[in-house]
Amino acid sequence: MSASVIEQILARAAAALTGTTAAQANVFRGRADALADDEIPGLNLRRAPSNEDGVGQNGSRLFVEFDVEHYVDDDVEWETAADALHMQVHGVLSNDAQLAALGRGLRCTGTDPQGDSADRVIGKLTAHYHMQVFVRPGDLTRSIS
Amino acid sequence: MADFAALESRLNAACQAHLANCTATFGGGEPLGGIFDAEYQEILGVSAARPTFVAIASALDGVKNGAALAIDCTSLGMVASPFTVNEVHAEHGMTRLYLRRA
Repeated sequence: MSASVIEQILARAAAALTGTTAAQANVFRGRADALADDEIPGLNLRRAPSNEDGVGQNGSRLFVEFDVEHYVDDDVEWETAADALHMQVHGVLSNDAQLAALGRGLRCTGTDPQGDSADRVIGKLTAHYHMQVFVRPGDLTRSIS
Repeated sequence: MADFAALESRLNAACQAHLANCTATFGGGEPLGGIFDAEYQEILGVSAARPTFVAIASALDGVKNGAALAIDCTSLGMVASPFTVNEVHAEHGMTRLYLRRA
């Protein structure tokens, strides 16, 4: 069974980000376990709730949402470090031709910064991303955008 | 009836004497005995620890946020790890320092 277009988008985003930002190979998909020291800076891509809107009888527009969690540890300027990593991520995603071929209108719709302190300061910036994809109602695996 | 403060002070001193598992050295000062702990803590989805050093309050007078110290816990297999103080919490004659890796 082929993967859905949503899964294809997330897989492509993860592949495009691997080795192309300061996070290097620390790129994860839906990771539920805690990150270790050597996995920071790191990125975690999470599928978010998506909606579908019928277009006539033969088309559906999917509003694909996903989050990119950026993890940094910087005792002094974690917000600046997280922002720098996000700008690298945004540049990669915005310029990836394979990702663009899967849908339209990739955009970052917002960010959510969080910081906390223990034996070091951890910063987490969650960037919310949105894409639109047109599909046939009977086939969620193929974009017809 | 014995003075409560005096009892508390004696109890604190006895506890520290029996439970101390490390020494802390501030700058070039003398090593100070105390209780070190670094309980596991997950913050924002990241593995971390919450290191603390506890000693009799009078021994830690003047210690402020940002102070640098080395913890020597040979019995725990950890020697002279550098930390900075990021929170000072005093209660009942003891002071707990919350530490951050330097």
